[in-house]
Amino acid sequence: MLPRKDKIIALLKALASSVIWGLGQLFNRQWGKALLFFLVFALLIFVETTEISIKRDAEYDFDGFEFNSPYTYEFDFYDLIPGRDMTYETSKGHLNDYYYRARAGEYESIEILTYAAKLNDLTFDEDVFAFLDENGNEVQPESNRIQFTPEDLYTYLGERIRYLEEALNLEEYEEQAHEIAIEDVETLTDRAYLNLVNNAFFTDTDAMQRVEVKTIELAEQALLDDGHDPEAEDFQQLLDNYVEENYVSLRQDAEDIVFDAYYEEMKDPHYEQTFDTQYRRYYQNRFNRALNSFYADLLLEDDDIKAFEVSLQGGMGSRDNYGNDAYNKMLVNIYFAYQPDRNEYFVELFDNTFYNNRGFFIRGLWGVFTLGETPQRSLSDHTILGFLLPESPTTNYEARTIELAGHHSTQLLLRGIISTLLLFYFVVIWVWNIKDAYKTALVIRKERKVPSQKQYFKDLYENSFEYIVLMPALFLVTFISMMPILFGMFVAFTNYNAENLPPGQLVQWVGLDNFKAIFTLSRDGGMPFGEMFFRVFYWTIIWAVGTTVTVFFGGLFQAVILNNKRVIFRKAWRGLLILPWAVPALISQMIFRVMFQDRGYINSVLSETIIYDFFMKYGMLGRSPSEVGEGLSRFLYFGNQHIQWLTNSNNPWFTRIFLIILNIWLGFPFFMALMTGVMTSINKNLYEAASIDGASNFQQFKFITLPLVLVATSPLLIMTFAMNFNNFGMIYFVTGGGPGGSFATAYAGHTDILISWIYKLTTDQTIRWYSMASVFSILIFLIIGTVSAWNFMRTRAFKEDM
Amino acid sequence: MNFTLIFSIMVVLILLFTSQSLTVSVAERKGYKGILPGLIGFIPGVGMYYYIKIKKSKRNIAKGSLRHVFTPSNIIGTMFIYTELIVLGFIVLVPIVYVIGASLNPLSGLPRTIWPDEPTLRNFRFLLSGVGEYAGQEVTTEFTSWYWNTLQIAFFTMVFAVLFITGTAYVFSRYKFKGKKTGLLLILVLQMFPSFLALIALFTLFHTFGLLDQPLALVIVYTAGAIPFNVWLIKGYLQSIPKELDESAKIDGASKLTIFFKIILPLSLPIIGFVAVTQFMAPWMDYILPSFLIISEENWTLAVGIFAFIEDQTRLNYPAFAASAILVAIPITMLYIAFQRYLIEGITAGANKG
Repeated sequence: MLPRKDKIIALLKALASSVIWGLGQLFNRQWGKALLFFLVFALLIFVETTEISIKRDAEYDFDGFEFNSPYTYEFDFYDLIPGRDMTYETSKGHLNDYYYRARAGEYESIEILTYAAKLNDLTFDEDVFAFLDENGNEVQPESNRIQFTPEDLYTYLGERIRYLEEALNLEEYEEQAHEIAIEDVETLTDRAYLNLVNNAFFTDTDAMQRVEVKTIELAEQALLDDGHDPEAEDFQQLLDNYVEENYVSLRQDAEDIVFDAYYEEMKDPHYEQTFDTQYRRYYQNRFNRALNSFYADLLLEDDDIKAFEVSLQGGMGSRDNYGNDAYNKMLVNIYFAYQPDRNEYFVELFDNTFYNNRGFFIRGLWGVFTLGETPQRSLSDHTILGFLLPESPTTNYEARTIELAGHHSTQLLLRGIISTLLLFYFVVIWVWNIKDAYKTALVIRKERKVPSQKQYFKDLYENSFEYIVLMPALFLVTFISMMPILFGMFVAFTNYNAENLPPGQLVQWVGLDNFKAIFTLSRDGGMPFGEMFFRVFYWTIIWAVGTTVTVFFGGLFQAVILNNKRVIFRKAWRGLLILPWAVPALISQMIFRVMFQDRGYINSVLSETIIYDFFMKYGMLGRSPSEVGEGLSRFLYFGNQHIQWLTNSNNPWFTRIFLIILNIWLGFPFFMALMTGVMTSINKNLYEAASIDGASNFQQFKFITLPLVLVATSPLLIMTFAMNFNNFGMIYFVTGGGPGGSFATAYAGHTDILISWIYKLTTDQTIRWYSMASVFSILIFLIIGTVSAWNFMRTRAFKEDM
Repeated sequence: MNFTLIFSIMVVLILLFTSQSLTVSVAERKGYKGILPGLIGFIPGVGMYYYIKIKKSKRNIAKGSLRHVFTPSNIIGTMFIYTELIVLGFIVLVPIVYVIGASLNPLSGLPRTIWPDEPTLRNFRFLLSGVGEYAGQEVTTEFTSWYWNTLQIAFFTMVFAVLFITGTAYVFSRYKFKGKKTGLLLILVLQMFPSFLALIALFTLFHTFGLLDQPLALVIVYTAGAIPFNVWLIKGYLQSIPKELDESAKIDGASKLTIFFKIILPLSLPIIGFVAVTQFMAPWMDYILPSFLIISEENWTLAVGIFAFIEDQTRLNYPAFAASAILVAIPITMLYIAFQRYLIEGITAGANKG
């Protein structure tokens, strides 16, 4: 018996090891073990505190790894917005570009300021950099510039500036100023239009031709007016001379005349449109300059604004380089600089300590418990500013709504499960470490010396062979089989369905609600899952039992026939009859789908035979569904014009039973082959003895063959039942679950068994009712698991091992 | 197809096989065995005459013995058996012949005859060359890529599954270690879950690691999925190998690895062969995983591609479906026929779990 003091010391060492792994071993003076456990501990801390991400270079190629810690990360709202941060690159990376454009911008700013002054009956003095009134007095330069420039904007941009006004809360302006401005715009409009037509006119060869012709005509007219005779011989000579002498004035007049006509012609819609775009670009450029100067003094504090300015000054090249995402990001930055309360709202939503500042394990656990707290939000306010951006010749830029990624519930759940599973392995080592510290401490006290670590590690290596061999399989099973199955099971307790799809929405834990909905027959998402579950389940059981029984007895019957001594060339017959088993089931099922279509091969053969006439005569065919009564005549209703083998929605039991029959084709050969094997291996002496005792053939079969075959094959019955219960292919490839299967029946078709229904609920992009699919999977597991476990517990393997 | 013709052919076949069977039983009674009487029995009338009258009996037989063969009950019984066999053989063959006929069909649309009037190989040419014509329009297919993808997946699944499973099963069957029972129970429970439960998570997992739309990534899932069932299977088999063998080797100084490679592995080759064949065939048959995890057409596997020929309205092509079904079915069917004994034994062993 060890003294209590020793135990307390051992416990203290164990405690030390539980806090800092390996510390207890250190006290035990076992350096090797201490180092081992501490390394594992360090690995745990490292995984928790470090995030490894891939670093990419400018061409977006792999460029090593980056190590960051979420614990030191400072939440920055703008990190959530997709796109590269242009602020940094524009102000630093393109410094030269920026300076160049800034210089250009200064010039343009002054131009627009001069113009703004003129509109307000003022003048702008470049040297003093101020507005002057009629008397040459300075008019509060700063405030005026701020006031006038927006006025300019308003004038030139009409609609657009109204957005800006809302965005920037600009004050209302006097009506008079507007009117003046609008008039100005109108004259400008005319002039610009004239300009446009002018440009078009002088580059139009056709028009120039007409001018040439008109010039001659004018000269002719002038000569005629002077009284010259056009029929005279020297008239042509006269004309040439006249044109040569007065060419400039003639040409001028001709141009005027032709241009007037041209101007009228140009008013067709096509040109109007061309004009419209030209006009807009023209004024947009003016607006940009105005805006630039407007912002220049107000906002030039911030890097973002600088970037914005650069882009406004025609930094189109850089925008094309960065892409729309980067521009959107910049716009959000600018917008929030003006709307701090909006900014705060979003920051508050997204600044989540557990999500942003915790590592792999803690965030994982938090994720499993909460499934995320912040849903995805749309950010669209900044689109107002998008109107300010100049159009680029290559990119048609539009400010877009940004979806701010919230917490992705299912990914959180998945990561949570992964981290929990990993944590489990760490916990195993942790417990080992504590136990070791305690035990070794006791040994040291007892034997008064430190046990050899060399021996310990040698034993460890010896015993670890099993674990080393198991490791890869264990890893695979944990993360590829177990993790997804755990995930799938958890989904049954959430509302993960088409109405709550991440990343748009958050998924919530709903406890047993889904199970309750099924067993209380209430609806989920408007669909009668409960009712349909029982209908499908009922059919699934009938299907599983029906197929198993038919296939088993079909195989038995065939084996008995084949085993009859009258059958010659038994192997050849067996080879022929085993074909359906050897042909891939999936292929046969697809062939059935094709053969048994309403207008498929089988019906085209049968329609030529008396069978069709027979069916027609007794109303099994050829009647419209509404004429068919209930009861037996409904049950024997095969279809309208053709036998609807796979699509008989008026008599689903016909299709169902037909499927069971069809399945015999696929299933009997396996049992036949198996049972003929068993039968040939039965000792012949048994039969001889029986026949000597006077047993008939049937008695021999009943008392010798059948019992032996049943003993050998009955374990397979349970397996076949389980397999047929989940016989996805036979349903999905042949009927696709149909007939039927719409929203009103929760997408469960008449021949859908649970597994094919689950497949539909999971994979059909228009349904996606994962929560219910998962509930059904769990129910299937409970059924199949119970049956298989019961079956398995009777086997030798189980009794030996458990 | 002429129904009366088929009917008459069947009647003739029934009569022929009945007379063959009767001839053989006569021959047997006279002491002739083997294939020859069976073949001679196919000659109507003559064969029977040959064995009744011409051939001398090899052994003494009772006088009424031959007559026993021709009792009405025996003849009717024989006829019944052959009617059953021939009708069943007919039912077994119809879909197979139909799909062969459909694959040779030159017409577009659903083939409604069992054999085309003008058989052509153009559907196979279409599959192998990737371009062809259907319903007057030029169509393309990635069939060869599907085949290649499936072959690769099948091969790697086979290799990895065998590697992982044999090692694991060896350890489970031969050694006692902490967590053995938990591990065995765990994989037992795992295999009872419907695989659909895992689909959504696998999708997310594949998405996270950029494995979506990568055919070879399916190998990981197939391998992991094969472990539970087959570990139990092989474990059961290995336990039937006497432990004395490895114990004596151990005394001789063999390491655990040597015991595995020199003793256990050679003895367990049949069951490993079974696992290898089944694992090679599994990816050919699987539709669910590739249909969910593979997106682009050139990365599909055969199951997904073939089903698209009859299901996807934009790719509808019945003759191409039939041709591809044949190209897929031939190797698999041959594998099945070749390994049928092992496969059936393996499945039985699986049901009994050793």
